[in-house]
Order: sequence, then structure tokens, then C-alpha cells
Amino acid sequence: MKTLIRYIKLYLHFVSNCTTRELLFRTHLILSFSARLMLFGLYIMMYDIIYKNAASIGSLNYDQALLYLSIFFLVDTIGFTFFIKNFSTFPEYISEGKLDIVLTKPVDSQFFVSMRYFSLTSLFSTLPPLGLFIRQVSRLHISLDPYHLLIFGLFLVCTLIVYYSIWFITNLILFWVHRIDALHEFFVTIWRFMQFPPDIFQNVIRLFFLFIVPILLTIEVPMQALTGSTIKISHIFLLVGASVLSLLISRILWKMGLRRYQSTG
Amino acid sequence: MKSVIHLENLRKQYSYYKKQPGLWGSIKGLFHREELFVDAVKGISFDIQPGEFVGFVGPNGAGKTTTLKMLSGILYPTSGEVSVLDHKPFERKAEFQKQFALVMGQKNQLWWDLPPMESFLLNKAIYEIPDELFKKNLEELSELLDIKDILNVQVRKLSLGQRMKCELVAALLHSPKVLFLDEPTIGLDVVSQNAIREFLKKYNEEKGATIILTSHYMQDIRRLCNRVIIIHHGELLYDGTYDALHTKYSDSKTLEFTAAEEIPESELLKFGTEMKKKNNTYSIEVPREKTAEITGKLLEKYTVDDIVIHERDIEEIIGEIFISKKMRE
Repeated sequence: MKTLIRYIKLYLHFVSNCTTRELLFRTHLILSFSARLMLFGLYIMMYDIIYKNAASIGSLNYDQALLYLSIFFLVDTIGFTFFIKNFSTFPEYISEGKLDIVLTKPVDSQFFVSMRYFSLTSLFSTLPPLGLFIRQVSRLHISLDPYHLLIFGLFLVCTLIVYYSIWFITNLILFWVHRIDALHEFFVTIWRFMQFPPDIFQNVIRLFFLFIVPILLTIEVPMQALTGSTIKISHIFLLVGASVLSLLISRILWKMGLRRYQSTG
Repeated sequence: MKSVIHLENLRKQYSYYKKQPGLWGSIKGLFHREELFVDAVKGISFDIQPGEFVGFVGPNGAGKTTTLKMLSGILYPTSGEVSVLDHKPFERKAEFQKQFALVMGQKNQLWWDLPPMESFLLNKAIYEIPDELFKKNLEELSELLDIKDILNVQVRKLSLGQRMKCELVAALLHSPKVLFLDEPTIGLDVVSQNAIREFLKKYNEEKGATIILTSHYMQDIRRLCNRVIIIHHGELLYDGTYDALHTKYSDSKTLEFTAAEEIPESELLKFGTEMKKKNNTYSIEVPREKTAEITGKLLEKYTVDDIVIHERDIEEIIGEIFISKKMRE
């Protein structure tokens, strides 16, 4: 418990430092927020166009699809709030030896490199999907009782753990290959597949997103919990299992990576 | 007395890929790469006692920084033993990490866009420094390093010297027992170098901290370190006092003086060897044990305006030690 409080306090320091810094650069803040907003608007437009030509995608009608999209973007912007700056800095840690200082600190190094930077811009970017989410919940007459909200929240945490772990693991490749520019974009690109309902992925691609990069159920299961739909027990196991396993693998690979770390001269 | 730092046959090997020259070499490298290994540190051993101020010297690529990184737990040794404050550094235990600090002249821990005070407060949280101790240390260190008026100025607006002073404060707030300094004066002007030197000297004397310093500026080593360890190509060449190094490996000194009159070369060569002349400034190599005697004779015989006695350059000495060691082998 003491350790947890210590890490929360430390994280608040990180948040405070990053927020102070981002507030210094107002133009950057406004431009980044505008870019995220436009991207979000673009996806809604795309859904509009698709649903003018089709009654459903997979098993989702237009309103359900927009709820799905809002959850996808909520996870995405929350993930960006916590991790984007950390993971885009990762190549500097490895190829420029900036990890040196981190490794001398009496703090868990994985925590340090994963949480050191916080993105205020991305936090603001959670507002549009949050707005859409509330709108769709209302349009679909979903009753937000505490039980469903709690289950939804727990599955969302599992989703964020999968999101973090897989993103983190892709960055760890740098310990072995030393240099890949913009490696963090690799996960972001794969993650974008999840903006579409999982039903559209079939055969090998479905298996790939279920077992190799297990992100297929990360939006669907929390959404089913929220709407009170029946969730397949196997899907719950797959999502929870993926979160535990991916976090564990990220820890093991981080330790292995540190043994390979050569720093710079 | 029990050693604070103990190294025995410490070795570090790096691997790298051989790059063939040219575009075709690069294309071939996509399919096949030859992995090569280089020994950065080749089995060095030494012990350091509490409170020692040790200069860790050697040319570029000698293995100094790699050794410091193994001592501070950044790198895993390939083989051998290493212990600092009774801990194996590579285990990176928090208990150990709270007792040492590493300052690197070429890498910083301060947040670039924020005032140093924010980084200090972050370190307070990282090292769990009690409020009272933090206040006391910050007051004392900022006073000693004269940085009180820049604590709330953005780091990016500070000069290199001011930044290095702040880096030192950030590293020392938790009162480390062991301090590793890797080129802390690199790139600084003479005034800043002196300020940092004076501070380190005082810190070592007053706090009794054990310090290992690597530097290319021999002034740093001469003025601060009571012990010098020389490393070259990953091997330990010398471990002893600075003075003993000169006595043992440099049997001559250089006398440089300006005389009012013209002195014939043949006259001067009676006093020493390798004479050099520029206008009325002369320099001669004289045997170390006869330096005082010859200086007296020169002052007696000629009208000398100015005279300086130079020790031989440490880099030269290191080169010679290395060559003589190779020849012995």
C-alpha cells in the first residue's frame, strides 16, 4: 500500500511537470487538439457514408456502431494521454542512451519509462468521444446502473492493460535492433483496425487479432457489458487472459531487454 | 577499513555488427551481418576506501565510462565481480540506488523546459527525501554553487555552467555516499570549471563522500584527486597517487623561462636536453631530481624575467606506460 501511494504521488509529479510544460506551448496544444478532433470527425463522416449504403456492419446498426466508435476513441485518447509521449521517446532511451539516468533511480524503470510523460492535449481529446459516448448511451436507451458501469469499467481496464502492454512490447524490439524510427507508430497502425466491429475480421486475420496481437475483443466486450448484451464466457477469458499475459510478457521482455542494453559511449 | 567499491577481474564485452562499406555493402547487410565483439573493459581490479577522491583517467575509448556504468548498475558486467556499498549494482536495488549518484557531463536529468526547482522536487519524490533534509540540502548546495537566483529560471535559458551546477544539486539532494562523475566539467569555461572543482573538493572534505571522477582536464585530476587510476584499452595501467605517477613514470621536468639576453644553444644544453627556443623564451628538459639545482644555476647565470616548471603531460605519460607495457609483453 505504501509503495502504491508513493508511485501515485510520483505520478502526480510527472503529471504536474508535463502539464506545466504543455501549458507553456499554447499553439502546440491548440494544433494538436485540432488535429485529433479532425481525425475523430473524419471517422464519424466515414461511418455516415458507410451506413448510407449498408444497414449494418457485422451485427451493429448505425447507433451501435457509433457507440462502438466512441468507446474505441475513448480508449485511444486515454491511451495517448498516458503513453504516447513515453513511447515516442523510447528510441531516444535506447539509441541515445537516455535510459542511463533512469536506471540509476530508485524507481521501477518500466514504470518510469512508461509513465514519465503525460499528454494534456490527449486528455482534452477525450472530450469529443466522451460526448459521443454519452449521446449514444442516451439514443440507445442504455440504463447506466452501477453494476453495468462497474463491469464496463473493469473490462475497460483490461483493454487499457492490453493496449499498454502490446504497445510497450513493440517498443522493446529496439533493445535487439537498436534503431527503428517511429516504431511507436507500428502499434498505432495496428490498433486502428479496431475502429471497425470485430465481426468483419474473418479467418486468419481474426485468429491473428485474437491470439497473436490480442486486441480483437478489447472494444466489443466492454461495450457488451455496458449494453447488457450476453457476453460469451470465452470472450471474457480471452480479454482478461490477454491483459494478464501481455502485461506479464511485457515485464519479462523489459527485464531481458535491460540485459541487452548497451547504452552509448 | 572495508572497501566501498570493490572490482575484481571486471570485464565488459560489447557486440556490434560489421558494416561493409558502400551502398552494395549496405544492401548485403540487409541479408547477412557479421557480429563482432569488442572488449571495452578487460578484467580490471581495484578497491576504493570510504572518502577517497579517485581520478579515473584514460584516453577516449579506454573503458572509463563503461566501468562507471557498471559501477552504477546501468550495464551488466560480462564477467568478474563488482560491489558498491556491499551491493551488486546490476541488481538495481532501491536501497543501493538511494546511496549513490551519477552525474554525466553529456547527459542530463533536468527537465529542459522547466525551472531546475521542478526537477529538484521530482527528485525529492523519487528519493523520498524528508522535507527537512531536502530544505537543508537545497539551501546548502545552492549556496555553495551560487545558484539561488536561477532556481526558478527555465533550464533551457541557463548557461552550460549553470546547468551543470544544477545537475550537481539534483544529484546530491539525497546526500549520496558515493558519487560517480563522468566528465562533469566538459565544455565549461575556465571560471565554471574552477567553481565546480572548488565545490567538489569542499563536498568531498566536508561530507566524506567517496568520489570517482573521470575527466579529460588534468587540472581536475591534479587539484582534486588523491589517487589516480589509469585505464587504457580496457586495461589498468596505473593505480597510485598523482605525484607518484610523475615520479615513477616521468624522470624529467620542463623548465620554461624568458631571459633578457640571447643564450647560445650549446650553453643551455649543458643544463638539460631537448632545447626549444622561441624569441627569448627557452625550454629545456631537466632530470627531475636536479630541477631545483638547475633552476638556481639558471637564475644565477642569466637575467631571467620569468620561469615556469612544467610536469610532463599526463597523456604523454599514459602513452609511454602503454608502449612499455606492450614491449614487456
